[in-house]
Amino acid sequence: MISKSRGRTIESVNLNLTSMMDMFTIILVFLIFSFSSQDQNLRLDPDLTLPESIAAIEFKWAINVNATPTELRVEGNTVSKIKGGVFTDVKVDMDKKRVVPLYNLLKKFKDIEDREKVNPTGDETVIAFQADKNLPFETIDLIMKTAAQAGYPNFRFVVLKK
Amino acid sequence: MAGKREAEKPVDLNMVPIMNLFLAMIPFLLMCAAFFQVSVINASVPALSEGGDEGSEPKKELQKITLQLQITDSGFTISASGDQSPDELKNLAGTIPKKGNQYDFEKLAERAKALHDKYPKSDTVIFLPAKGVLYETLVQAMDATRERIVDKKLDRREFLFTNAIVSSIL
Repeated sequence: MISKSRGRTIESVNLNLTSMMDMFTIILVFLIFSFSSQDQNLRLDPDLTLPESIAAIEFKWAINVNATPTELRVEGNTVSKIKGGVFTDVKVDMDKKRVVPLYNLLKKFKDIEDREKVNPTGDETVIAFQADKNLPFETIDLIMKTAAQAGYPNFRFVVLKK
Repeated sequence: MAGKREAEKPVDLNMVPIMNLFLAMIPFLLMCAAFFQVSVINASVPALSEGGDEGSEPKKELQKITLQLQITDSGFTISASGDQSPDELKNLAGTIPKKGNQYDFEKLAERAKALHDKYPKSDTVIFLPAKGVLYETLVQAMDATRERIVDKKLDRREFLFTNAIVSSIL
């Protein structure tokens, strides 16, 4: 469209949106492919590096226990500090193989679970265990044995898909 | 003549509504996008179970073994338990030493496949890592014994020892 104003000719410019549309289409297709509809109450801990695995089982409802190189957390709350794979500021009963505060907390969870129906899936509650890939096995073992004694012998190791 | 010229004139599509739609969809999809995918491995710790009927003789299961895998500084040590004769079980045992500084997961996967082919009803493996073995090594050993990817494109898998129990060497 050409219009005249004070003797000067003003031409309205039509923007060519084709290249932008192309870009948006590519972004949209990429995002649709990476869209995840998984039901996840899982909060990945930024302080730890998960190991990679070829496992393809989807995540389900569970109690989150995270072992980072520096802390042990249950549902995001710090239970103990860890230094070099050793629990530093809490009582560890080596005879019974249990981290005492972790045992007490999980036992409380178990009692509540037994009283009220907490697990929405109705299955036996398991522990979703996120641990740093460089933690030594004795730390992992102690956490697993503690949880098992508190009534949670089944675990789901959270891993990154290869 | 004038009518022909008008017919040849290219039509400009109104892209604005499509652009609006794209602009609304992209932030939503960005929020829901999973740039890394999380998966899980089922595992359990050994538990005491109540014995069955004492009067009845348990049925022998000759197509089934329970694999035991020790992970030590020197490599893997495999042994098996089951209803087979002690000699047969002894023949299944073996070691897979480290390849240089690395654990030989390929050989472990081959051995697990061979054992599962021989005893196809087997599904249980007990991991016995030594002190100091890294969690990553345990996960990789679990991968090697649990399943084999037959076709990566079609995601076809052959399942081996799917029931993983994690214990420790006393």
